[in-house]
Amino acid sequence: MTIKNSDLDFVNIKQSLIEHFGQSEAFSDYDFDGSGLSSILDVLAYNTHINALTANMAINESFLGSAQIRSSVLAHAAALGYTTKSRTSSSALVTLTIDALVGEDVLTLPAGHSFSGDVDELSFTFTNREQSTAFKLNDKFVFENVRIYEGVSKTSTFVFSGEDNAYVIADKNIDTSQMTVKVFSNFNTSQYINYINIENAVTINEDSKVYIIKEISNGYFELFFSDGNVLGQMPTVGSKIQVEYLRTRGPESNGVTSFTAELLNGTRPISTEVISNSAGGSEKESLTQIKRNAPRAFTAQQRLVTADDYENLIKSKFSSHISDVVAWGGQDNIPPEFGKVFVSLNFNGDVDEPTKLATKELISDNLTSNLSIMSIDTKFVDPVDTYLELACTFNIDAAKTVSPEAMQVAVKNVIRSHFDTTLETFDAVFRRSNLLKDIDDLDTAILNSRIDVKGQQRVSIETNLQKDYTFNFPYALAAPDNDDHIITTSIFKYQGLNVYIKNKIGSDVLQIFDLDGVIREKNIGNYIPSTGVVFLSALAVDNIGAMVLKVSVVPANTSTIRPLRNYIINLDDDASYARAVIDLQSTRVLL
Amino acid sequence: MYNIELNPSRNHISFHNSKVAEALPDFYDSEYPLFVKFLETYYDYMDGDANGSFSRLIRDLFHSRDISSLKSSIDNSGNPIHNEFLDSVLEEIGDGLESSSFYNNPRMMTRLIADFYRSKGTQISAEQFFKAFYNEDVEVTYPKKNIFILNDKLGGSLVGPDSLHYIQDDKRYQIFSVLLKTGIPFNDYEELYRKMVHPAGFHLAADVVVQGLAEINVRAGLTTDPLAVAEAPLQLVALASPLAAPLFTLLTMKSTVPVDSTFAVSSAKTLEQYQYMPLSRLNDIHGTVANWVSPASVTMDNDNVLMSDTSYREDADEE
Repeated sequence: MTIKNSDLDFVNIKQSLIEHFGQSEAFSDYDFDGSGLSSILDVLAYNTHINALTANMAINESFLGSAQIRSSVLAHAAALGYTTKSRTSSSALVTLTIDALVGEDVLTLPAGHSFSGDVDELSFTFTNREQSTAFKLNDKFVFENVRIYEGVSKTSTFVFSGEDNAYVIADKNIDTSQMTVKVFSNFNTSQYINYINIENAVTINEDSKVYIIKEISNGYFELFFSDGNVLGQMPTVGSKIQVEYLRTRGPESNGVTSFTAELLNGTRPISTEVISNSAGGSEKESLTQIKRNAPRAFTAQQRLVTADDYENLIKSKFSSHISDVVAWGGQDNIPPEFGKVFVSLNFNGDVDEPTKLATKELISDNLTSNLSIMSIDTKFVDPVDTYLELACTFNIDAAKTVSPEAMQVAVKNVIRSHFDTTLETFDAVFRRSNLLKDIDDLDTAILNSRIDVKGQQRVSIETNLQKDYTFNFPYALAAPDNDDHIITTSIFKYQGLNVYIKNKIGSDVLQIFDLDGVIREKNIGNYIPSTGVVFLSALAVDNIGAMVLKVSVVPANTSTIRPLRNYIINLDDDASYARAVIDLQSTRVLL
Repeated sequence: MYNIELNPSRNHISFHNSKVAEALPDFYDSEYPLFVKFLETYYDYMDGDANGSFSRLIRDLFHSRDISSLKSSIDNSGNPIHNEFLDSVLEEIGDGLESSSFYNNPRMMTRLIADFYRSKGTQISAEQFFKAFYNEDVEVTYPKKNIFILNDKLGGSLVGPDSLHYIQDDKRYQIFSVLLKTGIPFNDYEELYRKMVHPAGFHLAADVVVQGLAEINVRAGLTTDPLAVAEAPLQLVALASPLAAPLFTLLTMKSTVPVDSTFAVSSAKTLEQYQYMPLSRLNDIHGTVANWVSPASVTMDNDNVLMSDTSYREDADEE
């Protein structure tokens, strides 16, 4: 959004000036195109132009939505109580094994131990942030599920000099989530108190020991403490403030699959088993992200009441692993489960199962347990993929020297790109006309286009086992038709034959046909158009190994496909095609 | 036009006048009056609303985030012109709302919106929501209070419409349920209400309340017109039996003339008080019909008048 309060075009300003002077009695008969006066007007118009530009910029920087300078956006976000996210370190989960020495029963792995790993020929250093202890078992020490973080450990030290002071950490690549702040009462003691980030404080009272960290205009970070009145305990003047943090390279280090640990105490080898690959590294929150997340976090007010609150807070706090979140109350679930809130997380592609599990636990422990309404439980459900099969036909101008084959590839790329950019996430609606517009705009050689849309769901079949299968489509299906089949499936083995399922023409009953079109089973289930349910009853597929059955349907509305809840619309590339038809653009005499 | 309204009692007033003549040496006035006029015309241009004029923008900077100073105006056709600064503030804190989203007084709602967010999920937030967006009253109830529970009282439990106790179901009558009674259709507010107020995990039930009008007849005396002669003594002759099934939940009133016709409608709660009130006591309280119907009346215009589901008729002519 941009607020535009005055015209910034130089020519318009000069013309406007001329008109204004022309309305004045003293200058009404002047020739403003004359060289002398025109030059003066050029100067005035230029002066006006520069000042108007500055004034417009100042106005635009006054609001979060229209601000362009990062420092302005940060300030507006801070006014909403939103702390922008720093870079985050990529992290991995490893299990470490060390051979025991004679007489050694317990072994401690100190925090800060280094591990190295490579991605795309770039080398990264990871460290564990917490000390671990293991007991001897079968002459080995096994440290299970040790989380290691990418980055170089750094330390900044300050002297606390009073309540109004902020302490600048001159580093733009900090991961603030991995920061520790130790307060020593003086420089001669090794005793310290750990202060915690105010973002992680559950309650704050006069004894709380919290710090505030935020990004400042030059990209560095500033550390604050309480004034001793509102935000808990203030360090005593003269205390030593020691800040330990990771300088991270963010997303570059995602995807490390193996690690080499440095020798323990310089002598003892450590064998490393990777439980989950490195993931979750991310850049600083961008301006677009801040503009989107800060207002949403403000509406949530650190409370989890509405379904939107769940989405907003989870997005703002766990975006390094999660690309999208959708939440809905149990009252809207099928079947309803009152007193529950369902949350579905769409993880980034590089996040593996253990990290997904750990993230869900973190959300439960740190967010929903603390901020939701008592007696309301949070239940995580996985996203459900639903697919579209697009049959695109387009006419191309025969007079244009284009290759139909090349155009077909280009159109298919447009379709793929359309899904990549606007779909394949929660709440993303497929609108056929938007895609057709993209295709029509691809090349002047494309005269017109059409797309036939089918929906598709998949299920893994348990072969050689008679079983019911239910497919829930997140939209209504077309009613039975007297000409076309609404439901069709992929081919599978049934009683030794290659067969597939279709609905009986003009009926919602599903039947099994062989490839010659002969009915092999008169009733294997049915479908309910209004609820989008396709039900296969007691289907026994021959044992040919693992297989996926695809059920294709004609939606009731093929122009707009709107997914429900945790459904995500994807494109089935294999079942979709683009076909060019050469159009001679000649008017025919006969049909 | 621009939509900044300055309130002289709370903002600095900007008196803008040209200082060109004062800034220039005195001899410019006498030697080059046209040049002085030229500069004054230029500054006049910059203070106006023309293309590129920026002085106004700079003045607006002081108030662009002052919600109380940002006011919508009306165009020649009577349509509101929304203040873009107010909308920009709302864009930050309103999660998609615009000043036009509110039924009335968007500036006040913008100021209150943080309080509204903090109270979301409460009864107050629901009432605030309907007032802010639809100018409607709402009655928030919890159907869990009407769930039939076996042996919850001595002598046995009741179930059914008479007792207002119902067997638990998977919708309205269960623990996690909220019932809204308001005068607008559910579809009109459901999406926005769920987004902004409704606690996830609770069933949302809604009733549309149709507000009706009922009348009671009260008359003072048989021969004089108490409304015409305000000082006429009040005579309550008889109480009538209930007219009809519950019609409304909100209090309405109506006064009519002439004397032998209907007079006012109030709630049953109020009338029940009269049922057991001696006439002398009624006279002590009100004295005259004029006092009784006056806005200061203790029974007609204060908290004693409660909502009710039933109306009663009192008609002196029935005596």
